Amino acid sequence: MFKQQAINNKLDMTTIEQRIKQLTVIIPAYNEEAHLADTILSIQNQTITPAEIIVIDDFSTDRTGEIAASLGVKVLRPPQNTGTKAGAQNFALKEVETEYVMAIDADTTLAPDAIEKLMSGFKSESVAAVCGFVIPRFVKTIWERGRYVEYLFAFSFFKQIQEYFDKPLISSGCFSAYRTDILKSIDGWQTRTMAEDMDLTWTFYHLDYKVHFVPEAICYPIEPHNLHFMGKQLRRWSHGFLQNVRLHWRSIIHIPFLRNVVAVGLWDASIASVAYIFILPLLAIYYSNPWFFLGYFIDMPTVIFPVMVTAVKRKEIMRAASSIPSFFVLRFVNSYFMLKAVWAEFIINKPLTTYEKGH
Amino acid sequence: MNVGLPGTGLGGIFYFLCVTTMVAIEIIKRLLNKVDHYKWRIARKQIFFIAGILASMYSMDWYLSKIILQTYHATDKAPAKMLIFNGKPLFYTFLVLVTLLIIINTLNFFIKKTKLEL
Repeated sequence: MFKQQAINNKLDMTTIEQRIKQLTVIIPAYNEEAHLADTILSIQNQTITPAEIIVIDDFSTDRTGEIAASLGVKVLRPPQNTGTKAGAQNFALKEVETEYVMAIDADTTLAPDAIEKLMSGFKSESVAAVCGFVIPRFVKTIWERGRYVEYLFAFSFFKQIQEYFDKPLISSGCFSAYRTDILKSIDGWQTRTMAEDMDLTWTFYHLDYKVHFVPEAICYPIEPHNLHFMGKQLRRWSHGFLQNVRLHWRSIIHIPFLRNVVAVGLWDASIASVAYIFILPLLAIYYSNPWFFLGYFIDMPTVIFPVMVTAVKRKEIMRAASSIPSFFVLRFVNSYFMLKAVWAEFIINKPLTTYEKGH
Repeated sequence: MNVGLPGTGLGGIFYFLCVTTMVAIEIIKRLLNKVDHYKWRIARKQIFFIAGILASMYSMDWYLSKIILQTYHATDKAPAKMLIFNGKPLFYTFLVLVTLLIIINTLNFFIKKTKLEL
């Protein structure tokens, strides 16, 4: 039995190695001289290296292009700034001739075996995309800590349940791999929303393709370190989610499980946010009873248990425990931006159209 | 997400229902001898999470209602009730969730699927 398992594992590894030799990694980059080298080196030092790495220097004003070229990767520079990450990625997609293409953010490093693990997710021809586990690279400020807990919670709990039902909500744009022919057949990433990764994922589902989440494939992006940049990112994500709901709802309504996830997500984003921002404080004031503020923390065990179990496995107990309070601060801020987005996108019809980075 | 007001945060109960469904599916698969080891591993982990979450939520609820609120609001005739595991709030939240899911899953039959536009 063990000999057969060993033979199967070897066959699997050969298949994965063949896939990675047919993989191009594309890295959209605008003024990323501070972090790009780390990203490229983490890809070049993978257990199995991809066939090609392409950096799209999106008309940067710093040394992004020089740094990429000095590390021996192919550098493409569009004739003018494309305006969005999707635009930059599409510019490179034309040059990709391998069977698989991976998109990774310029500030994101990978665990040494991340690509190997990720590419194991292409289990059948109907799998259009695979995505991995995301953990913030730096966990120092209150915002990075809040995001750290948020990711540990979401990727160890929600996303795995979505994977069970074959419907991960998003194939994260910071680290995902795709079948090139499928991606090209739908003209790559669309620039019609602020969340091109969600748009792409839901488009795959519309076309009856599959998306897989591989929790063993880990990446480390840089998260916003202060409220200013966190606000920009939350604004983009909130508007992006609502724009995608408005764009895809007629299609999602026909996709079992996904329609329920999106409906519950939309309800929590809007109704629960109203409760967070307005109802709880008003009740506390009206009844002169501060115990209403318990509502902000009432689901603490729901968050703490999966987060701490995952932290124990990662040997990050103290880091996770000390970051828990930051999660609740970030959640409150998230509610504020989500409510603003609901107001802008659905009530006054003022969609967000300017793409801004989170650092 | 749950803000402690019945019906406001449905995510928690929704994912609890999902795991319950996963358990049912895995039992049926075992009875039919069609076990998918990959999905069983996912289900097993989430069952562990849900069990741990329920246990810790109950402990927290007990502590809050019996130790803290008892001091301020209970009387000899009406001891403090549990905040979360207290019939009505859970029922109303569950009712809102079920209503929402029924509406969404029914709309499926009335909304025509559109062609993909790029």
